[in-house]
Amino acid sequence: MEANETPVIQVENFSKKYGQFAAVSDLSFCVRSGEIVGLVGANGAGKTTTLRAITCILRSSVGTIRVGGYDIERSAVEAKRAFAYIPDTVHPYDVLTVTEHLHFVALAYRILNAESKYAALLEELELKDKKDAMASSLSRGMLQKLSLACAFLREPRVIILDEPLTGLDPRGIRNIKESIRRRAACGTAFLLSSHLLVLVETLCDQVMILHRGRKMAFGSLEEIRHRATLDKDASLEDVFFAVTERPGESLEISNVL
Amino acid sequence: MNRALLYLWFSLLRRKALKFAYSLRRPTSLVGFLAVVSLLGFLFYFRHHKLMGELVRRENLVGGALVMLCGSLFKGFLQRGLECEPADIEFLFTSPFTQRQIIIYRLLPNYLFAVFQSLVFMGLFASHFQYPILTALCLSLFQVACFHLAMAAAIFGGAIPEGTHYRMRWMILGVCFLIGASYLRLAWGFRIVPAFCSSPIVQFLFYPALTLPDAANAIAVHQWTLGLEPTGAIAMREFWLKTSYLAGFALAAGASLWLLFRCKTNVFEAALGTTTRLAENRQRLQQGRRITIEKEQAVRSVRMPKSILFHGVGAILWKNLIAVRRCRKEMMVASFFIFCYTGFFTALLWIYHDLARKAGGAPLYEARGFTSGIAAFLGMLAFFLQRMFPFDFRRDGRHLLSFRTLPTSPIALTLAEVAVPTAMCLAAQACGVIPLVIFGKFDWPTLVFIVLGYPAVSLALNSVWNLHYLLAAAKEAEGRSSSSAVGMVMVVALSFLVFYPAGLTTVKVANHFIENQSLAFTLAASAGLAVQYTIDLLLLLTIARVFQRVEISRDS
Repeated sequence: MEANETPVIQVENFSKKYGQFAAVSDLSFCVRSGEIVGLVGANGAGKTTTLRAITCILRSSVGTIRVGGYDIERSAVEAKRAFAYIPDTVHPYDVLTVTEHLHFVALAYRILNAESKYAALLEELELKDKKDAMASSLSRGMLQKLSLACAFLREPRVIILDEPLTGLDPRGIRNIKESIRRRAACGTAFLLSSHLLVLVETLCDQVMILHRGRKMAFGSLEEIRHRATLDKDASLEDVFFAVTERPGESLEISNVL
Repeated sequence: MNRALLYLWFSLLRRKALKFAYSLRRPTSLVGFLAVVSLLGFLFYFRHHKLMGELVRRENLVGGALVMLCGSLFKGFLQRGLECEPADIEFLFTSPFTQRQIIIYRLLPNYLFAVFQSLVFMGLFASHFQYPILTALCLSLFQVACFHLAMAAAIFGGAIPEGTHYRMRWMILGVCFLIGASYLRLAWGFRIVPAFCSSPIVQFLFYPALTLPDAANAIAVHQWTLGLEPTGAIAMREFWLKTSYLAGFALAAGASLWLLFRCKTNVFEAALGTTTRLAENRQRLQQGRRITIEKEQAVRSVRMPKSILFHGVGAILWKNLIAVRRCRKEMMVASFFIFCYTGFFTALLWIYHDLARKAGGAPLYEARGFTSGIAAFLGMLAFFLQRMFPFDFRRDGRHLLSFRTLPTSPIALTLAEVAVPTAMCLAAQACGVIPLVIFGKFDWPTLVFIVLGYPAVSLALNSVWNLHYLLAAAKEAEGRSSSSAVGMVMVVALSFLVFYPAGLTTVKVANHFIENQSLAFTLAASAGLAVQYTIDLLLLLTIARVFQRVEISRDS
């Protein structure tokens, strides 16, 4: 499916400072419906800060962020309805079961007929046998799946994932990748951050490389390769090192606001 | 003692002292520190008071020593293994240190504590002893012996199978109970063991075990005690007495250390499990979660509620109610506490009411004073219960990130978080307030004041504590240590201070209208309530503001 032109995430001149330290500087990009955008960068590059600013967890020092067309500063509640966020470490409610977590999300987001979707979701994420298990008894991979189930139940316009495949087994990884692709084909946008460059390379339509809080490249892998004058068979890993070892030179291709 | 371990200990000690000194630049830490210093200063100022002398009577000292001894033994045994820092496992256990060296290394902070404790003891109670330095030295050595015993018990407990440990801990508890009962009987004349237990029939059940009277009347014991009788000159007797005290305690410390070193078990394996378990327990307690981790269990998921109350932000209310339902054990403990607390005051009320009825009625001012006192104690119940009902930001502190992404306003979320513990505190207070209203025979303005006053108190306390939990959770999310003892002292102080403005307003208004007593009470109570509800509202708004504004994340 062709990516829709409506931006569901629109970041303009976003900067975030912790005291004197600039974690992210002057970042602008947008994510459109149906797009899968991968955010890559070294530790401390500003990936998590960017994701957490988009999800209203952190406040931006400078700049504007819109999610689903709503400014997150002015219309935070409406913006929060438009996205689902899965952090790198999932903290479940240890006294609730898997099904009760879904109940909680359905109640909090006022989802109608939510219970009719449970069976398919639990089946898709291989949680059917665990529907009455307490969250405290689940493994890390299972918790990740539970978190994805809660996000998928809401059918948001954009799903933001921080290291989405941590703790998953090979079958789980394949299933989640397929689920992401299927939902993207239906128009859900994805913004994911990962250190697994192979995952980003195979899953994402667009790649953004952050280095020391600055956007070094943004576009499809082919476009970045071309701009970086790299061989057309160069992997994302080659591209990543080529781009981050040329500080000061931005290779932004598309998506310029 | 290994030089590397000594260096490590000194470095860590110095770093901790510096960190503590540096933390005093923060107002919260400084206020907490000053509170502790003020308390010590207060005690020091009144160190010559008769009451302080009463505290160090022989009976009290013996009681305190027994508590220290039994407590150390039981605590150590329950610990099951040496408790270390998580970093110790990584660095010390794999380094070429002997078991003894590591044990001594773990004992060093305890030795320092023993010395510090003795200095404080000497500072406060020196004037009540003939030989204060000798007493402080003996206390220090006794504390050291207790630490040795605790560690030996911990190492021994870690080396035995779980079933044996379970049985032995009940045996130790039984022995401690017997020691306690004997002490209470000998020192204070309390007989907590019923008389029939010492009857010949009951003694017969324990045959051929040795009974206490048998032991006390043994000829050998008599001869030994006769040998202790002083026979020399008075000055020599004093000298030898002092020396024997000191030597006795030093011997106890040395013997306990010898016993500790005699433990041939491998401490490392047990210490690994203990350290991990205790670190996790500490974290779970801080977060208001259950210490016992749920095993895989077949629970039935509850049905989704139909009530509109639980939609939107009400989902948090629903979640917290489910948590209450799942914490049956904790709720039973809380119910028992509430039953004892309110039952005691109800019984007092009933006795007072009964005595007053028999005497033809109590004077009005006396009856009012009595019921006011009980009403105040029932108000304080919320203070104790707040920590027993962790169904608020204390438990949900870990979910701050996901809460920030919920489509609800911060104030609604704050109210939803505070609602469950507040309602539960009120329900518990109602158990005492209902008899109070029945026996108190209040007039209408007082009844209205009672009905509106308790929610204001509960809400204020829960708001103060939730503000603390929220700030602690935010600090933890940011990667800093979540809370400290100093922070806790500060919150406790604030829990009392939060009622100061309302109390002051009530007193001022009451004094202003002193000529018209009925009007004075109504106006003063109304003014006090208005101020308290305003403070509650401000606290809730502060929590909402903090929830919305505080930085709860920092990129690595």
